[in-house]
Amino acid sequence: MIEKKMIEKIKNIVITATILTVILSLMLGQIFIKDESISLAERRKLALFPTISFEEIINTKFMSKFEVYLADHFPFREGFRQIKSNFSLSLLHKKELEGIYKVDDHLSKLEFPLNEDQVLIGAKKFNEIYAQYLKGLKVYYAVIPDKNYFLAEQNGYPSMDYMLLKSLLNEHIQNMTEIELFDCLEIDDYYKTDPHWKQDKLEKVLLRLQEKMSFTSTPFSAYDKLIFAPFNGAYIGQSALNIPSEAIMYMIDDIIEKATVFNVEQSETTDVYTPGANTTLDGYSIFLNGAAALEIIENSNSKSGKELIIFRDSFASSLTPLLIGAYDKITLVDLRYMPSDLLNEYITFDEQDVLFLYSTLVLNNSSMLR
Amino acid sequence: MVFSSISFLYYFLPVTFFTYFLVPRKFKNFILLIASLTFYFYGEPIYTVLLLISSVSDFFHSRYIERHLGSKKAKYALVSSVVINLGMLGFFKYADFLLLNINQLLGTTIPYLHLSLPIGISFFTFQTMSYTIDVYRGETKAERGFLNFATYVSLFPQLVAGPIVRYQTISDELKNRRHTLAQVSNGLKRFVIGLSKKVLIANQLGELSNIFRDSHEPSVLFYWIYAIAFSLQIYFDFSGYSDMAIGLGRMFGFSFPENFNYPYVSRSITNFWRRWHMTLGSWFRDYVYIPLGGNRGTAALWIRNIVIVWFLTGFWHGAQWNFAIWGLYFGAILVLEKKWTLKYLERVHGVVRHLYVLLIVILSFVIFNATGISGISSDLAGLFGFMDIPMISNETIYQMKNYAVVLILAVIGATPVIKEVYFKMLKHKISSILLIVIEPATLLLLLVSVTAFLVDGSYNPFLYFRF
Repeated sequence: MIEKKMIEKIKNIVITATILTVILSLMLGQIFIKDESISLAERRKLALFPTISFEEIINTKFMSKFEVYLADHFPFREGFRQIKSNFSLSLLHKKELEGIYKVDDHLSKLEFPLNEDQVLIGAKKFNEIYAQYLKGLKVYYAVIPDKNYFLAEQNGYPSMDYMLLKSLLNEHIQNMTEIELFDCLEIDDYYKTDPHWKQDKLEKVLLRLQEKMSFTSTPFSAYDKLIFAPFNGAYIGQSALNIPSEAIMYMIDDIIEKATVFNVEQSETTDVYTPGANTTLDGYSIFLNGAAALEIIENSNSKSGKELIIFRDSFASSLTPLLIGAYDKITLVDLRYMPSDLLNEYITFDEQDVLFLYSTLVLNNSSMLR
Repeated sequence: MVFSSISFLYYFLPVTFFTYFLVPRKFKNFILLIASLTFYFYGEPIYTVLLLISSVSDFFHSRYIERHLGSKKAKYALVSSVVINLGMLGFFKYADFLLLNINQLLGTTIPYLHLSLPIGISFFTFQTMSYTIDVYRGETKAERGFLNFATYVSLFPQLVAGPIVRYQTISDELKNRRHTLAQVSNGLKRFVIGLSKKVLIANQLGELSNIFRDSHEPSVLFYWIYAIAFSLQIYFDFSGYSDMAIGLGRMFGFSFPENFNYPYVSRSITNFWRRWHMTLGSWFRDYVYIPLGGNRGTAALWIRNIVIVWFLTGFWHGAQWNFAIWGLYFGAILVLEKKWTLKYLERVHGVVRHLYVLLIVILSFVIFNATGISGISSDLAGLFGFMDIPMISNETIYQMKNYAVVLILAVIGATPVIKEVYFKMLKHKISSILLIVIEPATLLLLLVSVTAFLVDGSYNPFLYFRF
């Protein structure tokens, strides 16, 4: 009996000491550890301590912001996020982490079901742009399959109906020539930890575009290959999984090296590749200095007299450098950041080739195209 | 403030705990009162006034009632107290519902008040009412000290989602309570277990319910998975909260009543309601059902009493018709059981009785969680294949696999299996020694896992906060 009481007493001491120590340590840790301003893993700014005002306290906005602040600056936040991910995958055997799943070494984010309405919105937007600006020009469109096309259905994950997406576009997009890219790609042509494709794996894509659009590009073998590392893809941070980082291999030659990229919105000129800038949060920003509403790439060496306009999403950032050799000038328009009504203020539509190049991820959410 | 938040777990709780144990005994209730008002203010700054009004009102009403016990004055004071409490509850919780029904019935356009529901109002008004009624009945003495009474009304562990603690249950502890290492340890243990039930199980099941609601590929099977998931979610959510409340109470020297006793192992609905939200059930029994006459009198009167009590029980959960229907559904089944089916149920195999309870309860929670009456009919139609949907879909299969382990853990956790294994281990010397390591390690693992989920901020509502 005495022994039993002693065991109980020891256990009570251990439980009380353990739990209170953890709670107190983490509280003190949060108070005394200096706040970070950004989370590199999550690619976002962390919440600042909220402003204290009578109004914000009474309407509880202060409390809501304070909760976000506490979570953002919790000690060992990344470690705790990894614990959550591992708990979900290993103990609960969840098949995904808020949409992100892992097959072999590839991470991908579920994108389903097919939003037919959204696809039709995209097709309508393309048609409107054609009707407003592109009559008489050679206009093409190509769809880039996202990673789920190669990973989802085959591994028991829900997937959008890609064939239906293509047939909807085919049926509703008028006056444009479709360029089929699905058969030019396979899963290893994409980064393992990121949704994007790898530039050094785009030879088939480039040849298909070249064949359909009748331009002459630089042969792949003529490029030098450079490496940017480490590259932590978007899905590493989102999933908080402990996965090795990758490297971005990018292709360069004299033409690319001498070409300039003019960001119209920022009124800033940069190189085609910017490994030294803007890549802290997203390594993929090495291509054309990251996301931009309107960019103009000038190839001063070329006298082909050809120009290209690409309506695009981020996938085009890594492909476009490989097209520079074939065109004097390439204009890149990202309709997610720029309304199509403003196009004629910045672009004179005259004899250019035009390519609508969009991934299924954007087409399935086409209302973001302005 | 909610228990499953960083602000509570890593700021409010340690600050309150250490302050409470550092101050002399005579200041402990004062610390608890300040902490409780801060806790409520953090979630409902303006409505903290209601909490104070309720405390002041019932404190003085009960004193007055006690002074005039046996006279009509006491009765009037009791009526006044009940009217104030029910008035607050009715105004803030049911006013818009009433206006909606008047407008629909009469075709009028009376503007709605759009009042937000003060957190926990259904709980604290029921507590204060029970106190004043008990004083009127002479079952408890009116509290002399306002500090003690206000501490009772606002006591943060059970303030916003129960259990409904009657004053007489903790009146002695309010004045004089012991604090032991065992209480603190057991309280912490119960709190961490409740927190884990909420964050690691209920929230996961809540995600599944939400996925079902947003599904583009519903199927009959998905409807059943949703129904089972929600039934488990509400159990883990609410019983988890009760565990946390009881654990916190224990840490500060209070013994709160149990609120759940593995209701899903029941073999009749009568038994289910002796195990589910026990403090609410006993409240309605003692303050509504028995005063109405209970099961005395004719069968018609008894049925009337059952209907009233179960309508009110359902309606207490929310100002929507589906809650009233949910209550009446249980009322009807209880009448059927007591009059006819229970004697037949007792003759069938335990597994059949168990399945019967589960089916009734799962269907009840589909009614409970539906959006209005049309939502009830569409959800039930989906369950029984009366909608134009397939029996199974790819998404259903995927989500079944995705949440299989969570569902299995929830089913196991809803039975006393783990508790029985634990008590068996305690009985044996070697395993009880091993528990010195296993128990704290498990609790530590749970606390760290819960913290990980809170830090990475995901789905985290408390279902019973809206009641």
